[in-house]
Amino acid sequence: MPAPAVTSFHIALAIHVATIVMTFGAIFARPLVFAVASRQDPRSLPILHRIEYTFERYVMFPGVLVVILSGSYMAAKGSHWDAIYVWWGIGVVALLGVALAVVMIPTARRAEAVAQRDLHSAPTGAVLGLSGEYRALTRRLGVVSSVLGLLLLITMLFMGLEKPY
Amino acid sequence: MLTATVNTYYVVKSIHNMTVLITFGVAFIYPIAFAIAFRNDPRSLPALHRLESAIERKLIIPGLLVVILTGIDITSIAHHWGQFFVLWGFSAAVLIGVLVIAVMIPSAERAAALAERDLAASAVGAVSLSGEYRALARRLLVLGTLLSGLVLITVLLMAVGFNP
Repeated sequence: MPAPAVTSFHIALAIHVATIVMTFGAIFARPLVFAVASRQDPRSLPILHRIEYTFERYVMFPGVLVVILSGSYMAAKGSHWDAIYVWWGIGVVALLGVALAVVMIPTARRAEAVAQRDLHSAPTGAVLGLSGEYRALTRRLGVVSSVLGLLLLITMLFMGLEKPY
Repeated sequence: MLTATVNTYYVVKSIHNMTVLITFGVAFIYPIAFAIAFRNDPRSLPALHRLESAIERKLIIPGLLVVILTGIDITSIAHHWGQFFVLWGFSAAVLIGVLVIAVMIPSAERAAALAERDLAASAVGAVSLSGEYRALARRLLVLGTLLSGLVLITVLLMAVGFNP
């Protein structure tokens, strides 16, 4: 089979897919990261929350914009505006952006501050007890990120089933 | 509206794509994570290296296996054996697996131990990390970036190869 010619559609597709992997993939490691850190080294929790909201603010948030723009270009180029998977995709990515701005970033900031307060108030050498407030915040972060991760996977499933073969 | 026929090929391809996202996406956070930890809380570096090792053992290696197996299945169904992007994909997956097992995991565990040793030897409030640790951390960062680049190039080749 001859090698396919690279078109502007391919470039938009490449930018779209690369941005999704680079920016949204980290959300799936969150449960493992926080489970291991809580068990092995709770003193690393504040910095992990800082890493979490910094990545969300400076990488994921711009990624949302790039994914919507490149996806819109492909939808326009392929005249796919009437397809449900296009609107589903845009809706999910927009929802992700809103959830990052309204829930994930502020909650992770608060979780960092509360974890730091809990760590400082624990006596040296004592078994670290994290407050109910911290646990409630991380539970909220866990639930919202799991829902977002699930929505991303469903969206990928939609897109995968729609691709011509 | 779903217009394509949902068959084994599409289901396995979707599992393949989803596993790539779940498995390799986390690697792109490493440079930012270590930069933040170096600047703000060097005492968390051993924990971060242990997390790096745990992610590679519990997420990346099993995910890579799923990616290779589903890749074999979709290549067989679509009769794509011999295509450049398929050979590239398998070579990249094997290379990533070998480097993660042989270099990344042992280096991350060694870096955690070195950072712990350096922190224990540092005075309270003044963290001093050895040249040995810095060299190892730099090697991990360079190799991790190269592997992430390889993942990205492979994803791009697949995206173009599968959508002629």
